[in-house]
Amino acid sequence: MKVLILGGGSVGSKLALDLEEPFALIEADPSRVWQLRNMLKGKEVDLRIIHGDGTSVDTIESAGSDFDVAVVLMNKDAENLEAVSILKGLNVPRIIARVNKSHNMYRFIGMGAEVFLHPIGYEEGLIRTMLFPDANHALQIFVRDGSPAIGRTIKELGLPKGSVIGSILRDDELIPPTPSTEIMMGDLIAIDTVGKKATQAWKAFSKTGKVESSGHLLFPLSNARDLGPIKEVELLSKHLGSEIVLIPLKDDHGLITSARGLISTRLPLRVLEPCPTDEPTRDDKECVDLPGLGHKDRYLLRTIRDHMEEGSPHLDVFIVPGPKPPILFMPFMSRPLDRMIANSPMPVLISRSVRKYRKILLYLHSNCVQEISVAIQLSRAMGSNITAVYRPRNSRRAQYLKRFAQVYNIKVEERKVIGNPTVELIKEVKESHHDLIIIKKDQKDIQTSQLRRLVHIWTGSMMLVP
Amino acid sequence: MSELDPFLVLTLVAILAFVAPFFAKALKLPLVVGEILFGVIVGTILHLLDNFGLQISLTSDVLEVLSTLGFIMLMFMVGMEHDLEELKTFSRREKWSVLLILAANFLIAVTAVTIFGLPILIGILLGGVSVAVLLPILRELQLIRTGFGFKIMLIAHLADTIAIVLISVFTASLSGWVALIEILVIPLAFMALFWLMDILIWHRPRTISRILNPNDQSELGVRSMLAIVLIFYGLAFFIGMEAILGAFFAGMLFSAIFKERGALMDRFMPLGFGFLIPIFFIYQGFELSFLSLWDPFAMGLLLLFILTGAISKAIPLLASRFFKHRWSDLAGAVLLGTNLTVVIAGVNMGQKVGMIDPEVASVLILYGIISCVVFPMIFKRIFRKYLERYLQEDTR
Repeated sequence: MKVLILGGGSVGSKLALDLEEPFALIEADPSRVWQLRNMLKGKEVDLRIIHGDGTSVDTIESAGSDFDVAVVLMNKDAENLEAVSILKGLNVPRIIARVNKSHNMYRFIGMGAEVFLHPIGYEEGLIRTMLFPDANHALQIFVRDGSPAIGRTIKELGLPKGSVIGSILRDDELIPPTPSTEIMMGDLIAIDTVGKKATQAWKAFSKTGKVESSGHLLFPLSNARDLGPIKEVELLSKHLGSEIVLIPLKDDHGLITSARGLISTRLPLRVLEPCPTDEPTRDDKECVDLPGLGHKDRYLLRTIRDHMEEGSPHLDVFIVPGPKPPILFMPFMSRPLDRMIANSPMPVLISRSVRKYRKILLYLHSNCVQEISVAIQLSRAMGSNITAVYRPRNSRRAQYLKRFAQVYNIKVEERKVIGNPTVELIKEVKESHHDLIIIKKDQKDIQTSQLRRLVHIWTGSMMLVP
Repeated sequence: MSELDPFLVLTLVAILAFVAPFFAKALKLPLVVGEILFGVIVGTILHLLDNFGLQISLTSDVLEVLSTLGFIMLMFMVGMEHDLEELKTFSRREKWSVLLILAANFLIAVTAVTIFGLPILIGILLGGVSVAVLLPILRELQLIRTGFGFKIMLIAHLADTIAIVLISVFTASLSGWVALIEILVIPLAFMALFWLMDILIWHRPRTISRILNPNDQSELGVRSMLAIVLIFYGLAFFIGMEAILGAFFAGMLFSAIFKERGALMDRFMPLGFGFLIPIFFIYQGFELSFLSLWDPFAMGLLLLFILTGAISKAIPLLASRFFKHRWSDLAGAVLLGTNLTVVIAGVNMGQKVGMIDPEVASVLILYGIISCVVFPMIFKRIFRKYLERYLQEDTR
């Protein structure tokens, strides 16, 4: 990989010192060029240090051609922008740019550059993770209710040395992190770490404080038909490293044994106590406010709530098999599954797929932080591509998604829809083959009857995020 | 009497329609109110000229048709403002209490009107609430996202719908019980079409997408909307009923099927609010005159209407403590006093059936205008600060 660095300030020089690939560095200040030449004298890589203006085509062309990636680190956003546009014209495949003022970020992203915000400290580490992405080093955390990080500033979090908070997405606003930025519930935080610090950084957000604790895949079992999604559960557990939690809804020993037999012994598995068959106990009275749900469904909801209380930053999913398509579908009437989805505080996966997700469809709307988080975690684990469907007014959210996805090298395809979102979503679902749809469960854009159709009649998997 | 060429009249109406928004803005009135007030002023001037012996008739067949179309369009737009799914956010108890409040509201209004020997239809009109006027007011005051705003809109939506259904049923009942049964066809057609469209979206998303695509050259969306409006209108006409309910249900159908209707509305608005609806309002205004108000009887009637309209909502709200706070109950009652679209629709129909004579009609319309000007003003001046305090306590 051949790297071009524009700007030899403190960050540029540190990056140059660390790099073990051939590179060229352009710096405008002659005395700094002299310093850099002295500094990098002993380095055994093919390197060139050029004195010249980083915003001039001639200088850049004189530095050489066929660069694989360019890192733009000059002090003014205007200069950086100009450099990005020149590099784009010279067909440099990847451009990483420093943004000095956060409001300029959209311009950079719009020009196709990958960006990070200045000043965040430890930038060279961040650039390195961007240059050589490694999924184990970069974390992405959705702060849930109960997490000990809520209300603390980044300084107080006590993140391990060498980890940097890249950006925070809160209520559809991308916040440049400073040491005094306070963490709030519902924040989506991208953390870049070096080495094996990831688990330690993770710890700061987990309520239980257990480093090894992973997400849960809640999987209810009531009859043999429920074994259908077991393949998908196994797949998710394998890729996400999550624990499978079997929830037997009746005391059927044979069913539990066959479920155990179907799941690979190498995956973490826990079987809960079977659902009590007697009449609702006093505890159930808390759930009496859920009309139209049976005794077992209430038991399930309580189990879900118990698991949510841990406040761990991992992805927890509740998995149900795809329902039998009814002969005559009545969109007006809600079924127990619909009510279950409506009441669940955890993402619900309607499982119908048996293979690894290759394409994930994500519907972006005005408040979609959690969906972005779920989509990125899944596609990171499975190496899938994301297709983001959004309306023109939400194009900023698509940019956030791209910003977060670029850290993990996830390919994001954009699909801007004009016209009615419900119809366009159905069209997209029907015409291109996606393995999974991720969508918020109740929102203003999508017609409920069509969402129910997707849940009950569609042939692929679907995840409904609260 | 000199008959003017219809195109000359149309030109006059078009000019007036152009000027009306500036007029409304200058007087700080909602656009709808400004338009009709403008029409009434022109009507008054014409009546004045008439008194001086200069008779000009502005009625013509072309305008009659356009004005009817505008009326249908207005009811369609009002129907489109309703979102059935919003009802889901309310608990069962709230829905029942709203229904009881509205029942009491209509009962009080009808009783008050019958005591004074006026037709029941007027009572129904006075019980209505105008969503089309209330919505921009709440938006302007930034109350729409609060619990108070939500509850107010729930009452307004239901009151509007109930009033329109009641008016249709009432006028249909005049032509016998067969018409009453026939009226059931409309909700049935509504359900059937909803289901049909739902299936169509699922199985033929490409076709529907073309209809809804704002960049489509043939403007399929506007055509389909016009077709649906006129189908419902025709259906209503065929079963011998007034068009109002048909157009209203067509609007509700569209808003139910296409939850996010912004793009659709954007394309229909120019035709509705830019062309046909102003014609309807201004043309409606032509036939009225302020002159008929210089009469103690008319003045008394106006006072009666305003009081009935306000009291019929205030009593049930205060009795049920719907907003759980006396000041906000009163504030809600004042805000819910705004009532124009239902009144105009009702007056239009009442005149055709022969239940409302022109003099009462102009008083009613004037009541509508005054309610839309005075009640929001009282709300802004007196209740807003109390309400703000209540909302603050509420969030705490």
